[in-house]
Amino acid sequence: MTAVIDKPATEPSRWAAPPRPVWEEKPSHTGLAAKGLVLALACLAILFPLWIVIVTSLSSRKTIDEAGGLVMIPKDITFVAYQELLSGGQVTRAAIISIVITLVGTLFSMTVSVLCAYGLSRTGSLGHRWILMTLLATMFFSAGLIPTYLLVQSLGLTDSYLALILPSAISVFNILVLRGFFQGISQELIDSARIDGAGDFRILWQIVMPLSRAVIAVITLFYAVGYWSAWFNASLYLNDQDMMPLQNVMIQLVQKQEAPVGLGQAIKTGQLSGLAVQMAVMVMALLPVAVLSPFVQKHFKKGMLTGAVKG
Amino acid sequence: MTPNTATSGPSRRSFLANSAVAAAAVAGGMPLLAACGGSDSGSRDGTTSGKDAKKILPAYVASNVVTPDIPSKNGSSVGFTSKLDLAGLKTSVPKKLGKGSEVTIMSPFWGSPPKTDNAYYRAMNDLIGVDVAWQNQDGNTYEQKLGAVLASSDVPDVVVVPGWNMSGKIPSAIISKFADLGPYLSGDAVKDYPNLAAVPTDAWQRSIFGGKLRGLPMPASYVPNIVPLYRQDIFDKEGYEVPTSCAEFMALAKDITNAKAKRWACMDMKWVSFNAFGVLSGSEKPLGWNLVDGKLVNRIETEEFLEALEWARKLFAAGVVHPDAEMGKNAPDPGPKFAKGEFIIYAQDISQWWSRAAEQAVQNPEFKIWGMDLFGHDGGDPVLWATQPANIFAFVNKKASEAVIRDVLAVANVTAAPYGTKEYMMTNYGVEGTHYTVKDGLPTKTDQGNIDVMNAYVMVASPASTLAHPDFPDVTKGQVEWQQRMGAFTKKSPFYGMQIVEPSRYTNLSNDFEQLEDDITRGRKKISDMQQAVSDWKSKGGDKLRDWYQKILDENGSAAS
Repeated sequence: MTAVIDKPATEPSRWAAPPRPVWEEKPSHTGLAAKGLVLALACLAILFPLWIVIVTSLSSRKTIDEAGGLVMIPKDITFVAYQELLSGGQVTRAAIISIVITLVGTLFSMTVSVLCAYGLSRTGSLGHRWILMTLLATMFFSAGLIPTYLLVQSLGLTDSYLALILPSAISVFNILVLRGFFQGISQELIDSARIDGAGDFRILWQIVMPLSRAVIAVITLFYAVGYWSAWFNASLYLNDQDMMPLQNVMIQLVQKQEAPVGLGQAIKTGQLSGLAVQMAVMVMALLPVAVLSPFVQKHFKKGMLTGAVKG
Repeated sequence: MTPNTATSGPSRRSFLANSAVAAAAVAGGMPLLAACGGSDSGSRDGTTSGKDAKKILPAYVASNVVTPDIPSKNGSSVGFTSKLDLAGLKTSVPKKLGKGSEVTIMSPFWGSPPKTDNAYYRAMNDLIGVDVAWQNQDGNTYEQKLGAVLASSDVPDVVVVPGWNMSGKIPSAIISKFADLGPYLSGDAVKDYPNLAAVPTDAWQRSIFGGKLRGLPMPASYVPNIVPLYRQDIFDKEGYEVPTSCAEFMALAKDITNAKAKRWACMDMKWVSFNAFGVLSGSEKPLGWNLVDGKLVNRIETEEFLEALEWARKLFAAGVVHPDAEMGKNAPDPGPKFAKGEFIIYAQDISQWWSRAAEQAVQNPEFKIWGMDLFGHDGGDPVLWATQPANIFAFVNKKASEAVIRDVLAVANVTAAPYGTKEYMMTNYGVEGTHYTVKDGLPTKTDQGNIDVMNAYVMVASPASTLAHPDFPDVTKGQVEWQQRMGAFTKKSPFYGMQIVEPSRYTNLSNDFEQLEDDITRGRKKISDMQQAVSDWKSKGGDKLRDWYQKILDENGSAAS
C-alpha cells in the first residue's frame, strides 16, 4: 500500500500530470497588471465619452465657449439645458405617449408573432409553406415609402396612434427566430400533451411558452426597443404636434439649434448653449436603457443565440 | 427669456437657405426679361422667361408705407437701423381681406412646434380674417414627407416647399398638384394685394413652375450670401489688417496661426476662394453655367475653379486651417471655438454676422464679429456671381376653391408686409405684451414668444428682403453696406432668376463634386482627379446637359440681361 502511494513521489515528475492546467495557475503579477490595464482602458473608452456628454449637458454657454466645445472639467454646473427640455410639459406628455405605445405595441407584436411562429413551426398546418414564403419575400422586398404611406393613409390611420404600431408591428426576422426555437422543442412533449387532450392553444400556452422564456424575453426586448426608439413613422404619419412620441420631441429640441442658417429662427441669447441641449437630450435618451439593462441582461445573454442555428 | 442659440455648421443646405429676415432683393421691379422667343411652358422640365413670363408676372408697385433707413442699392437688402417706435407703426393692410375660410398649411419646422391653438396663431388669424391650421413638419425629414403627401390624394390647401427639397419627382408634382395663381396675381390683378405687389419681380420670376405662376416667394438677396466673418476685437488687439488679396490673406493667416497656442487663422475658405477667383455660383445647378464666346461653360470646367481649389488647398497645406475643418461637412458647430478664439475667420451665411453677435453679447462683451469684404485673388475687384432671388415657396392646392385661394393670398398679403408695420411686427414678433416687450425701442421676445413665434407664417410669403436687427443697428448697417459694396461686383449669369427643372436623367450627374472638392482642398485627392471627374462628367451627360441648357437659352433668352 505504502509503496503504491510512495511511487509517484519517487518517480521522476515527467510522468506526473501537472497539478492543474495552465489556465488555473495563479496568474503572474505582470499578467494581472496587464489585464487590469486593458480592462481599465476599455472601461475608460466607454466611460470617458459618457462623462463628457454628461458634463457638457451641465455646462453653461460660457464654459462651453471657453472649452471650445465639449467640456471635460466641470465648472459652474447648471441645469438650464434640462430646464429647457422639461419646461412646457411637452417632454412629459411625449414620454407617456412613448411608454404607452411601447407597451401596447410590444404586447400586440408579441401576440401576433408568437401565434404566427407557433403555427409555422408545426409542420402540416394550413398553408404553412406558402405563408412562410410570403413572409420571407417581405424581408427582401419592400414596397417603398410612398406606397406604404398611401396604404396607411387609405386605411385612415394617419394622425392616429395605430399608425405608430401597425405598419411596423411585425418583424419577420423575429418570427423566424421564434419559429426556430419552437421547432427545437421536442415533438414527444407536444404529442403527449395532445394525447392528454390539450388543444393547440393550450399546448402553446402551457408547454411551448414556458419552455421558450429566454427567446420570448429577447424578442420582447427587440420589439420594445424598436417601438421606444422609432421616430420616422411618427414624423411621416402624424401631423398633430400633441401626439408626437418622445424621440420626435427630442429631435425637435435638438433641431431648434440647427435650423437652416438664416431662416429667421428665434436667436436667443444667454446661458444656454445649443451643444448643452444636444448633450442633455442624449443623456435623457440613454437613461431608460441604462436603467433597464441590468435587469434584462441575463435574459439577453441566454437568449441572444437561441434559434440562431435553426431557421 | 429662455435662452438658446440657432446655429449650424456649413452645409449644402445652409448655403442654399435664404433668410426670412436677412437677405436682399432687387430694388425695383425692373423689366428684366429682355429676350424673346419660343416657349417651353407647360412642359415638365425647362423654364419660362422672356415674353411668356412677362404675361404671367405680377405688376410691381413699390410700397411707400415705410421708408427704410438704408434704401436698397446694388441689390442689397433694405436696412432699418432706428429704434422701434410702437406708436409709430404703420398699417399696410387697412382692411381685412380674409373671408374666413379654413386653410391648412403644411410647412417644414425646425424646433418644437407650439400647440396648434396658441395666442400667436389666434392673433394672426384674427388679423388676416382666415382660419389657418398649421401642419408643422419635421424640417429634416421634410423631403420624404413631402414626397409621400404629394403622391397621395390628400394634399393640404397650402404646402411650403424649400428649394433644397425640390429633387426627384417633387418638381413635377409641384406642377401637377398646385394651382396657377396667375388669374389672381398676373399683371394688375396683384394690386388687390398691395404687399404682394411690392414683392420684387425677380422673386416672382422664380415662382414660375411649369409655365404658370404657382409659388408665393420668400425673396432673397442675389448678392452672394457667404461672408468671411472675423473676430474684429482680436484683429484690433493684435493689429492685424483685413486682407485684400489671396497673398495677403495667406501671409496674415500664417501670422495668426500658432498651433501650439491652439490658435488657427480660419476654417475652410473654399467658398471665399471661389469668390476670389470669380468662380460661377455653386448655390444652384443652373447658376453654374455661363456664356463664354457664345458657348455655355460650366463652373467646374473653368480654370478659375481649379485655381480656387488649389488656393483653398494651399491654406490647408500651410496648416492655417483649424483641424475641425478636416471633417468637412461633419465639422461641429464653429460657434464655441470661434468664441474661444481658436480660429478667428470663417465663412458663413450673412445671417451669422448678427446671430453670433447676439449670442455672445451678454456673456462676452469684448467679442466683436465683423464681415470682411470679398477680394479678387490678385488684389483687384472680385468677380461675384448672383445667387437666386428666392428659394422658399408656398403653393396652393389645385383643388382649392377660389374662396380658399383668395384667402391664402390674404394670408400672404399680411405676411409680406414690410418692416415697420403692425402686420410685420405681428408676423415676426407676435402680440405685444404676450410674445414680446419693448424697452427703449428694443423688442425682446418673452418665453411665450420664443415658444409660439417660430417659423409658420413667415414661410408663406415675405416682403422684399429686409435687414433689421433692432438690438444691433451697427450690425444691420454693416450687413447692408457689405451687400451694397459686394453687389457692385455681382454679375448675373444667364440662368439667373429662372426656375429650371433639369430632366431627371441628369439629376445625379454632379452629385459627387462637392465631396471631391473637399477631398482636394484637404489634400486627400489631387487636382488631376478633378480634371478626370470633369471629363467623366462631360461624357456621362455633361455635354448633353450643355445642349439642353443651350436650347433653353436660345428659346427663352436670359432673364438677367
